[in-house]
Amino acid sequence: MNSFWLLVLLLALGGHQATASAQHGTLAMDTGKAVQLRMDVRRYDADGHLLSPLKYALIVQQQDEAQYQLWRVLAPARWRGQKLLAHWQAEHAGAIFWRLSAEGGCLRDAGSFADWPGARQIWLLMRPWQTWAVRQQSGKDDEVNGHDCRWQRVRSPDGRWQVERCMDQQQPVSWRTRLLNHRGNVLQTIDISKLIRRNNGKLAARDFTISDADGSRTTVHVYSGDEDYQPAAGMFLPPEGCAAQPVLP
Amino acid sequence: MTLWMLAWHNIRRRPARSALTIAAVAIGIAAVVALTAIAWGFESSWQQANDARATDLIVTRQASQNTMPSPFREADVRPLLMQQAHVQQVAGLLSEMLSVSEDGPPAFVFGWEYGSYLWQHLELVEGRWPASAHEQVVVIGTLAAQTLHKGVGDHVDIEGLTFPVVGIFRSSALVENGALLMTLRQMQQTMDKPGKVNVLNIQLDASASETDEAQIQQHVRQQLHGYHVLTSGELVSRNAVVRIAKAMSQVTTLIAGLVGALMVFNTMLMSVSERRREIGLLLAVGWRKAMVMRLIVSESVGLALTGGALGILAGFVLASVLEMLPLMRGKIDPLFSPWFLLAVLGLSVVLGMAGGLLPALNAARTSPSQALRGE
Repeated sequence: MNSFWLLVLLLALGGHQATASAQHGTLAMDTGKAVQLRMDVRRYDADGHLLSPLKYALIVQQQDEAQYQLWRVLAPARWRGQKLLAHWQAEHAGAIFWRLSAEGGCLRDAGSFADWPGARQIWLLMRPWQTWAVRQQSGKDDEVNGHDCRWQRVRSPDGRWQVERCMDQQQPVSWRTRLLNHRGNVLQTIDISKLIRRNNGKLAARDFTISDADGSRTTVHVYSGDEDYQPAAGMFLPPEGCAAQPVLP
Repeated sequence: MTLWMLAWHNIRRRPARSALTIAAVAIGIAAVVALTAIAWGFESSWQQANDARATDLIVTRQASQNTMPSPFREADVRPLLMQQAHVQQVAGLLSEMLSVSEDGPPAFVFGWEYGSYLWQHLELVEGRWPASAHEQVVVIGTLAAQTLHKGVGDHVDIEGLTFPVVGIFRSSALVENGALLMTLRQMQQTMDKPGKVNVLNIQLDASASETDEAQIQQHVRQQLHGYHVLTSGELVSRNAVVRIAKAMSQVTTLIAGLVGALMVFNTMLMSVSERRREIGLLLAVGWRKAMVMRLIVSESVGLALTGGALGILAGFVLASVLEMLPLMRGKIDPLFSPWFLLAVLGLSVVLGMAGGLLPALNAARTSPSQALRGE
């Protein structure tokens, strides 16, 4: 399978692939491959007010059981060049991360990652859902944004998270995805509005909206990408003496 | 009084109903004219850009049916292309649609191989060209200069980097006039796509014939799996936006045709129903059934033709307004060909005939005696 691991892939990946991946216990991504995405992110509060729009460049690489992500802020100017480096382990739902300044030095105020509008929402999307076993293959039929789909439910290995997704019956696309906590409360809902065809002919989400339980929402538009990104040596290594931040929830 | 004058007189006898029918047809025709002109104009503009660059063949990644072809490593493809007979130059191009101002619409940003033939068709209006492949500067098209309110000496932010504007150029292609241009090396660096292009342009020597071109295409297709080798026309016709625009105009034509025909049909059916006595009288004084049918069809064609003519005018206005919108400026260039406008008028006539035929048959079947008795 191609290297599109991240949210774009997650949202668009089919149940077939998800099931197969879960059965084999491996991440659905080729080791060593990397992908770059650039996205416009707009976050609106519960009253519909637009917070500062952001542009991110995101590079993701899979190495064996681990995944590396490098987030870089392109805009606005006050965060431009700041980076977030994250290391994920396949069996865990969380990650360790480092925040880096535009010059490459460490930033200590880890909490300010949440200041980047939409970053936390996208972050939550990046759980390795496709490795989670499908618990309930066929639920009720539904219609999302004019597309017929069927609900299915998956759960994280530690049982803390559940995902419900409404899968298209004709193509491997989840038109609506809900992230729930262990109590079954909906934390996020992701609706895909536009798809793009990847080099391998499969579909991925290009435009989507993340709605939070508090009524706020985040729109994401992926405006550029490179499915065969060649990461530079050491790109995913934190600077020396830079302490890792706690695992994100 | 001729038949046509009589038909026109009948149309004017019911001004409100006739005006509504004409308006409905005109709206449909306006949508058809505007959307088709935009779709053709978009295709033509890209074609002009490729023609102006004097590119004979284009190599892109297969399955790249999105707005922009997917990037690929230039080094994987260029050597094979350079080995082909008649290939004079291969020039890499990396293009993206990017936001270059806080509140402005996205613009095309092109990265062209420095020193390649791609630059030769551009006319420098002001300033200078980039001095080297490594210089972090942009030149912008005349239209981009207007829409971005930028001139030589100003700066633009592209993907978190600041670029001085060192020149303003003019191109015969609208899409290039609305674009920002930098060297390929700079574009690769800006987009973090080192060594990548999304199009390789091939220029053949003057002695290359169409057969040579076809042979190169065939040879490269055999050797380069996963890539398309296309003429510039083929690339444009495969462009997702061109295909969507064309599909939209076709669907609009279909819907407008159906709605227009139904409106005319409804109007004429009511008209015939209300004028049974009059039609019966015409038949009683010696009008032939064919003549009555011609009268009714003439009225329906008159309605549709008037709506069509007004629709064409409205389509012109609609396309011009869309062209002036900030979001669309520099991206669309509606193309109105005389043949297309004649075809639209022809469509109006067909609508009129289709909508008037059944009411005309009904009218012709009228029995004069029954009609005069008011039955």
